Amino acid sequence: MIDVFDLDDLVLTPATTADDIEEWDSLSHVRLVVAVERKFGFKFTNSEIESLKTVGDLVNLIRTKPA
Amino acid sequence: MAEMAPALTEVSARYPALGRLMQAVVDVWPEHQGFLEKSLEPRTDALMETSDRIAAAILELAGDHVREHAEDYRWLCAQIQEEELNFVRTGRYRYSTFAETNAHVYSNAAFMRRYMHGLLYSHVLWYMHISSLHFFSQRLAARIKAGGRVLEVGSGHGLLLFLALRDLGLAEAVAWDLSAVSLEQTREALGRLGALDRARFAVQDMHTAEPGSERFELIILSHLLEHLEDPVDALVRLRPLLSKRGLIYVNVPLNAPMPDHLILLKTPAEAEALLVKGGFRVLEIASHTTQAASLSRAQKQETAVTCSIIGEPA
Repeated sequence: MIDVFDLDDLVLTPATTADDIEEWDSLSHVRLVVAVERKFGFKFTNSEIESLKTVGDLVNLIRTKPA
Repeated sequence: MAEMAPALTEVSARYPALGRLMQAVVDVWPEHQGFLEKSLEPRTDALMETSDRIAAAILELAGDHVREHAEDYRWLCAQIQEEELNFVRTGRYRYSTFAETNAHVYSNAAFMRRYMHGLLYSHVLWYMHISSLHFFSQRLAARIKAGGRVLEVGSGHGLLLFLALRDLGLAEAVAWDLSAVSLEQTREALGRLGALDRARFAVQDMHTAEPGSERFELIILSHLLEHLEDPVDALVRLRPLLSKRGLIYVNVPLNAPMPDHLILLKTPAEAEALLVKGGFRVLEIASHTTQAASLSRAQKQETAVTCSIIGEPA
C-alpha cells in the first residue's frame, strides 16, 4: 500500500478506511486491488472490489482465496 | 432536492452555475461529494471563474435534463472504473481497432447518448478537463488573431467551438464529423448557446480532406486523436488546411482508459512526438492531471493526464 499510495509513513490498522488516507481514491483503489492480485496470483470479482471498505476487509478477503 | 451540502453552499454563493451543477450530481450520487470538493481545492480564482462560465453553458445544454445528465455522469464514471481495472491489469486499452470501438461503442445509440452526457459534465467536474478548457481560452487568446475561421473535427458537445467564437473572437466556426448524428448534436448545442448563425456543419472524413479554397486560422482536435487508428495521417491531411500563421490545438490524453480509446500514449513527450510526426512544431504543451496531482506522481501511478498542445506547421 505504501507503493500504491506513494506514502512512506503510512500506518495501517484493520479499521483503516479510504477516509483515513487522502490518496485512497477510486483510482488508487483499483491500483491497490490489482497489486494484491499480482502478489497473490488471483483475481477479485467486481463486486468484491466494490465491497472493500477497510484494510481489514481486504485482509479477510485475501484469506478466503485459495493459496 | 436534497439539502445542499455546506461546502457547495459556499461555492454556490460565488459561482452559482457551478454550485447548481455540482449539487445536481451530489443529489444523485452523494458519495461523490468528496471527489468534487477535492477537484475544487486546487482551482485558482481565475479557474473558478472559467468553471462557472462553462457550468452555465453546460446547464444551458442540459436544459430540462440536468438531473438525468447527472445520472449519466455517474454511469460514465462506473464505465471508466471498469476500464481502469482492465487497464491496470493488462497495461493496454481494451480495443485496438476502429472496427471494435464502432461495434461496441459508436453503433450503440443508447450507450453513446449516456456517454456524451456524462462527458459533458466531466468538462467542469474534473480538474483535468476544466484546466484544459481554461488553457484553451487563455493561451489561444494570446496567440489567435480575432476575426478568422475555426475548424473542429469531432466537435461533439460544441463547447470548444463556442469558446472559440466567444472568447477568441473568431468569426466563423466549421464542424466536421464522420457521423451525421454527432453533427446534429453539435448543431443543436450551438443553437442553444446562441452561436448557430456563425456555424457551418459538414459530414467529412478528415482522412480524405483535400485543401480547397477554404483555410482556417485554428484547427481543433480535442479528444480525437486517441480514437483513431492512424492519428498521424489525420494530422498530415489537416496541415494544408491551415492559413498562413494558422494554429492547431490538440487535447490528447495519456493513460486514459475509455471504451473508445485506441491509441495509448504514456508521456507528454509521446504526445508531442505525435504532432511532430504529423508535420507540426509544438509551441506550447501543458499537462493537466487527474485531481491536480503532480505530473511526476500521475506518471508514476499511470493515472490520466490531458495534454493540451498548441502547434504550427513545421
